Amino acid sequence: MIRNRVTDEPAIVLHVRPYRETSLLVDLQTEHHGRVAGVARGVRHARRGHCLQPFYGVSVSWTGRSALVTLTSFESRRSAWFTGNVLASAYYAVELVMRLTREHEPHERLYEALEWLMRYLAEGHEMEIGLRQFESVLLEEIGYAIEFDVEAGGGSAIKPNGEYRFEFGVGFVAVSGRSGPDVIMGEALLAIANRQWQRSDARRVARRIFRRSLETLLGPRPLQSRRLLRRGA
Amino acid sequence: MTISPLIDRLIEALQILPGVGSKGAQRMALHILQRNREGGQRLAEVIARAVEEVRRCDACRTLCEERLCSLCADTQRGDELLCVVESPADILAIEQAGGFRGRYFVLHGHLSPIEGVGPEDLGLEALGVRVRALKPREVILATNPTVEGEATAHYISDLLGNTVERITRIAHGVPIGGELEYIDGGTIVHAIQGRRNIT
Ligand SMILES: [Zn+2]
Repeated sequence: MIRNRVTDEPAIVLHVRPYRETSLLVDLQTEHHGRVAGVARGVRHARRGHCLQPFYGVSVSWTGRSALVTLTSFESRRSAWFTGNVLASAYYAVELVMRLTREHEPHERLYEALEWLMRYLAEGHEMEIGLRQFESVLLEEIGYAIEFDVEAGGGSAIKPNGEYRFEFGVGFVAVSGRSGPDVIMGEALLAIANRQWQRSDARRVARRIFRRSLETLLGPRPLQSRRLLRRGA
Repeated sequence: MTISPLIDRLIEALQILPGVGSKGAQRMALHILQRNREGGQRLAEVIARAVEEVRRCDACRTLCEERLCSLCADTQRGDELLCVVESPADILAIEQAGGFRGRYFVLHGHLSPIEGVGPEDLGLEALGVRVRALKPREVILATNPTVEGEATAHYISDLLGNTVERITRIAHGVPIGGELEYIDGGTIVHAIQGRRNIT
């Protein structure tokens, strides 16, 4: 059997846990091979530390084609250290990736979006905007893209002064003569379509729609990382 | 090949120990039976007693035999500082280093959102009870400088909020004797975030 060998693959460390006495089990989001789980042997008590830390950008090589590959080399491309709510946000993104993608399913855009988010968070930008941007790419990549500028069924364009209701898996449906908490103004949807995140209505509506969509996809088991968010944030 | 079912069971039982594989366990079993039966007897008795009698301290939850561990029972130690650690081994490390004369609280783990370890798994309510009883001036969060340790510290500081005057996190960063050039980027970021005034 020809052994599968991948060299110098860019990846993001999603999760690390101890394995046997001196090894680590590492979940990685790779650029070209999707999510990969691997064993790194004999590194756990390395005196100089190692780069297999959550959220780090690394370059890895591995052999094997089974569910669990053997990491043969790894080096750091980008370090990461988050605290407080930024840490909760990074965990949130990683938890979504772990829960909503399958191993070995290539997702190049998702890799790029996650790498972008990690840098964005490290630079101290507005977390909320970063998360909305990431959620929109994630939903697209797993096949649930939301079109913010057309009505459900690919009909007419969203009108700025129109009123709509969101249905997961369907899209935006025009409503008339009815107001309530679920009603969304067309101009907010168009602002999201144009990525005008400086607008507070775009941020608020996107947050609600992405959240509802992700919750439907995640099912009854809640996200653990949400509980890390400081109250009031 | 089976020589004796009892030896096989002993070899299997020894493999619950960290770092002991089948080869090592076989060597240990044969050593006890061939060369040190008396030591084996003592080992068996003390394991049985320890497993039976060692429990968690009512106050700090470290492992001990009494209702209160010796650190909690020590009236010479002050109640002003409460140090929160992940495991009893961390208490031993801090005590061996010396210099800390406050109290402890052991979490027996850390939060791990990805592995589904949440606040209720760490018994964080018990920490709230401990803080209310002890009324420390400062809570020191000495969870490990790992991502999970940081998340745990973050959660606890939020949980305790303004019930304590001061909540601090142990400093992390460049190890004593280390050279910046060889230190990992994450550690350096950490060390710069945790910088302090030179007095
Ligand atoms: Zn105690």
